[in-house]
Amino acid sequence: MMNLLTQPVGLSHYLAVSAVLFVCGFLCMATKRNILGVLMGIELVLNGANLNFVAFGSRLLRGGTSDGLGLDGQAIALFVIILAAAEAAGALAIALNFYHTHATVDVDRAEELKG
Amino acid sequence: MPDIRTLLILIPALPLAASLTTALLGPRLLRTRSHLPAVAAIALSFLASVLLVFQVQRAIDQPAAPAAEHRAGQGRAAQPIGFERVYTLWSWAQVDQAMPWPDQNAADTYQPASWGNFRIDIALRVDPLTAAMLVIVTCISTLVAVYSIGYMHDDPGYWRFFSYISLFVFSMTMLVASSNFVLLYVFWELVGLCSYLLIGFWFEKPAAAAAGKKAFLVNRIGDFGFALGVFLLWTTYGTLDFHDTWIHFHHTWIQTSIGVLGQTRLAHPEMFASGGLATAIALLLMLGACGKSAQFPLHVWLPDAMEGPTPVSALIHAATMVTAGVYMVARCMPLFAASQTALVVVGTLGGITALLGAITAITQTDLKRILAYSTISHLGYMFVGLSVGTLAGVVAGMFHLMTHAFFKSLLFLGAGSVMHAMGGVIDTRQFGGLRRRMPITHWTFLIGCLAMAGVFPFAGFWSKDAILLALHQRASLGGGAAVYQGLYLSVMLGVVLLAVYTFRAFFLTFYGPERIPPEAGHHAHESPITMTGPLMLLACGAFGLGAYFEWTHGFEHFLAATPSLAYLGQRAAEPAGEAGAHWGVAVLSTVMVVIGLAIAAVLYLGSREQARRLARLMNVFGLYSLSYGKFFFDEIYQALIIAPLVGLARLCAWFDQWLIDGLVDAGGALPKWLGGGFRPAQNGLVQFYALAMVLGLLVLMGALVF
Amino acid sequence: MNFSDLLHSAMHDLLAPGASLSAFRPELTLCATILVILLAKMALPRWTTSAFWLTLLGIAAALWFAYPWSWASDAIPPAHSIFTGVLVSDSFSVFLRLLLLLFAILFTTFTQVSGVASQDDMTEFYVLMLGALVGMCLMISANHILMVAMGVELASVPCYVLAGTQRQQPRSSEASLKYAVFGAGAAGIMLYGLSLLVGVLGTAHLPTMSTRLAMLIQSGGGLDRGLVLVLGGLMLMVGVGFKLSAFPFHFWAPDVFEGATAEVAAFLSIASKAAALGLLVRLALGFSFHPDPAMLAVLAPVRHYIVVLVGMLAVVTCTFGNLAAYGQNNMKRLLAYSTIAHAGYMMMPVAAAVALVGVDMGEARAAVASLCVYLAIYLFMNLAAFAIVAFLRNELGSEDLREYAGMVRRSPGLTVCMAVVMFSLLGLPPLSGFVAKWFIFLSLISAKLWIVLAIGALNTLLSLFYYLRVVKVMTLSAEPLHRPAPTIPLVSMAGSYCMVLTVPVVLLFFFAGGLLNWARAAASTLLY
Repeated sequence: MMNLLTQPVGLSHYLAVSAVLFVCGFLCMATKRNILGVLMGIELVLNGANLNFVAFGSRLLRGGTSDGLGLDGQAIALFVIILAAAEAAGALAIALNFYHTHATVDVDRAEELKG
Repeated sequence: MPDIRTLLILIPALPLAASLTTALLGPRLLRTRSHLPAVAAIALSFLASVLLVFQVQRAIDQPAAPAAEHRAGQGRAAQPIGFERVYTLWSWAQVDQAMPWPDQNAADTYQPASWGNFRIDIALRVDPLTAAMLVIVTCISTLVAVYSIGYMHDDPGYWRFFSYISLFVFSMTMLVASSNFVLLYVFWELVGLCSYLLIGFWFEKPAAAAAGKKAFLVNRIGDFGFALGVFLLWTTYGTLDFHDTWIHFHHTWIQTSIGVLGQTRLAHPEMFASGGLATAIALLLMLGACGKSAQFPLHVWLPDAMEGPTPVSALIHAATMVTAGVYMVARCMPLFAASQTALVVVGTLGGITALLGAITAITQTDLKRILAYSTISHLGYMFVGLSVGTLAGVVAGMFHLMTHAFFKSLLFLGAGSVMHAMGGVIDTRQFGGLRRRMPITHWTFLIGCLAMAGVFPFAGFWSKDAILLALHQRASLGGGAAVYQGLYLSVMLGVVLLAVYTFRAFFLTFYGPERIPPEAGHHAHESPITMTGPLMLLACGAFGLGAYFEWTHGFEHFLAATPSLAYLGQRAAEPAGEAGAHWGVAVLSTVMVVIGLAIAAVLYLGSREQARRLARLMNVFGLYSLSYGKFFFDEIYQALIIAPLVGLARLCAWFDQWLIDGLVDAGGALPKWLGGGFRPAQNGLVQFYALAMVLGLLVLMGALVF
Repeated sequence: MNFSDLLHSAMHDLLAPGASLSAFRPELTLCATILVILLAKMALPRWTTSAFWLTLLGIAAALWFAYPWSWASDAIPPAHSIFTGVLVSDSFSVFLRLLLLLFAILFTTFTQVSGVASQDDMTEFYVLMLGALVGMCLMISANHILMVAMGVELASVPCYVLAGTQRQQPRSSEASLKYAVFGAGAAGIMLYGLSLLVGVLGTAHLPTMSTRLAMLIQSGGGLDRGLVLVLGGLMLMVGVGFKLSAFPFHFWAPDVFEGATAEVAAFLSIASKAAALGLLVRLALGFSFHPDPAMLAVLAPVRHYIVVLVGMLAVVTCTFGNLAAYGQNNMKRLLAYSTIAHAGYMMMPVAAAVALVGVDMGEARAAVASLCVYLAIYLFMNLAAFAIVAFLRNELGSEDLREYAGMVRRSPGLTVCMAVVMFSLLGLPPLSGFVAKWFIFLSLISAKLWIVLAIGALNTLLSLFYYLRVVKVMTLSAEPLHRPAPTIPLVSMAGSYCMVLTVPVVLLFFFAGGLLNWARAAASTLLY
């Protein structure tokens, strides 16, 4: 197992950061009671994925080999950003509507439907 | 004059149409006119049957048609015997090669290629046996239908009654006209159904409903045997048609199958099964006949069947349906003749039944039940006649069938007339001395009694005499002669009993001090013309029919042209009819009748004290109770068969209710319970869902990696 | 290669006959319809039902373009990738797109008959539906990870909003919130998994990914990469499983179905599911198949992994759905669990197809064909069930099963329709549901997936009780005393709509051969 701290910054470091982002995002998503917090968590998860896409797409980080993802990685990352924005827009509208009907933005209050 | 084919189709078709019309229009439109279609159709059917007989007679007298000769030249039947015509209307079912060719004997047996093709043609046949049956059935039916107009006139189920009666006539005519065992079985069941419906016609009465059920269930036992017999026939002969089938191909006739009772097989008796197989087939068929014709040990349903309306008792349970078994045995006579054992069993069963019925009838008090037991007894005579296995025997049996149909329906209708006048009471202990109030009924009943007792020169005398003569002749030959000797003696003895119970019933009803039960009310007078008319017509038949046919030999000659019976005539040369034996038998039986008549007159005509004393005397040995209790057959069956079966059924019900149902219920409850276990997981909290999702992911990861 | 060559080849790729744009015409038509609807709303505010008619017209036009007119005369064209390989156009995508568009027509009619899209919301409702439809079309023809992500998101986001169309109702908004949160989370996880897969394999093009995968396995790979791939595959499965509502990613389904209207539930349960299955087939076959026989043999462990994963999920999903449906009284919730169970059934032939790849390609195609048959029949069955629920809601104001008591006396025709649908969902002959299950079980037999087969058959038995309970309540239970049972005659808009859906449920049993031919054609260009 190589020690990340002693190595020059490479692909592994990016992956480690993205993994941290993913876990943070997921924990945020799973524990925050405020809908906005939950949505932020989701953004973190998506950003973790984006970081992966970009890092894998970088020829520099791959050491110049040509079998990498190339521009596809960047392109996917761009699309994911757009998708995240669209999703956030939809989710925020829904959250607003939820606030109108429930007078709260607490996800735990959405528990009428169960069984 | 319509041709044979048209007549043959019209005879069943008219009653069927009447039945449907009455069923559809009866409740709303026809109501009290419901008898019109039925009576008209059945009468026309009778007319057609009479015409058919003339046609058949003419065809017998003429030489065989050229086509038939031509056909015969191709097959194995050199010269067709007797007269038969088969008309195939359409094919009901066909399965080619339903049964593989049996390996053994394949080489040395001539078999057409269609062996094992399962094929049910709607094929109607006419031969003298069928024609005679058709006339008997439709004649009695017509008279009974007319009689019913008066008898049933204010019944709420008027239309229903006539619909059933027409359906019965359709089924019965089809039964005797069908030329295939499957069709025979179908209509056999259909007449059983009509019988069930009509016994339980007054289904509000518990006794009637129970009697209908009993008749149906007892008949099922016989029908089961019959069905097995048909299966066995199929596996043995590879076809279920009575007749040979031919196809016309390139100007020649090619035989495609050898019917069970077809000309080819009749010409080559070695093609009939023999030995144990023949015995098995014949006995299984006989089991069916026992059920339908109320023979020991399946006779118990017939007395109970008297719960139905009296015309039904006369038509179905005396004159026609119950003789279906006799007809079937006569029709399949070559199959029975192939096994001497089977014939002996048939004779023994018939003899036992004849005595059993006669002894029971002596002590019964219900007029219709007396007649029912006498029917059972007479059916026994018919089987005894058939069991002789010779042409004379079969003709005698069928002859008795015909005369019995007339005098027994006459007696039943007379009893119905009495019952009608007595307000539904039929117990002879409650009325008596009716001869002045009901003169026509009295006189016609007397003729019926004389005919039934076999007094010279009434119809019953000749037919009974024919049976006795056939037995006598058979007893003089070898091969089970002792059995036939015994049968002859028992029938002779039965004649005494017959005279006793017949006139006992007659004297109890019409003689002695006049007694009218209170139920009679204003009804206690002679019945209307629609009822007495048929009585008088039947009385004419009961009086003259036997003598007419005996002197002209018309019935015998006519019936002898039936192929399957003509074969019997060819097979064994009849012993020369000894005139001396004939007279001896006749005189002996007349003496027996006179003895019986005298006993009945002494016991019942004057004071009936002696009768009671005799009954007490006989009861010292338990004989009276035995007879009065109908030999306790019902009780024995109840204890031996019904009670254990009910116990088993209860056990099964318990098993089903607690064990099977319990298991099924548990099977249904388990998933519900499991499903209920999952419900708390669906707690409505979306974040819990997310956690569960990742948890599931990790579990999957673990499952896949390790 | 200079810029003009690039431009030229791009133009050729787009415009040549039979190339990208012509194969993409149905989707383009749908997109254009969205624009026209929005414009019509602005330009013709008086025409209140413009959205409905334009939607119908647009879908009909798309259907016209999507219909494979050439199949009847010519051989079915082989699969070809379009738009430089991000999408693939083959008979499978043509068939599923046809099915989706047919459903869209029926669904649009349904919303109008039941009146769920009020005049204020109509435009948004249909625009969202059409948007989701475009996403689904992308899902079923995805050939590139970008399109997988795009398709799933494009199909999901409008559905979140659709679930909340009844804005004033707390239950509706709760449903849409749960759907959005759960869906976004699942999409996030899937994207992260995709990033891992793409990164390790170094490409986002599905066929190339299978090549790289084979090479990786051939070269010995390395445990860490293998683990990352397994994890990535599982995370991808989260996204697909979410769309499929497969256990344990199904949690949203019952709540959303109950909170949303029956119409939206029908849309989610049929269109969304069909698209997700199409995507699952694309991904599962994409990773497990390679045209080169040597490479194909190397991919055996991947196939094993997919068979175990999909088969296990199918079995568990199916059993869970059937068990959880017991004791449900809300019809939409009951049908939600039934839908989950059916998703399980429909995943089974995918497992079978993957198991058969490399063994018998013909049988593998037959397994995919059995899925196509199931989807087509399921479309009619489930839509009819939800339609009846919706119509009864309009009459009763309730979706509680117990309120349906004694309906047979007042609405015998509708009750018969419901009984037919329930028996068909159960899979009894002579109804088409039997044919559907029959072909699926046949594919399992040919794949020798005995455990899956046994559990699938057992599940059919399990489902008996709750489907029959619906019929029992409608026919045997006594009518409530305080009000008459709902009356919906067959000769009304609602009644005849139910008839239109129920009759195929019966007829497809007797004419299953024609459907099977279509399904075989649909699967015939896969795996080459």
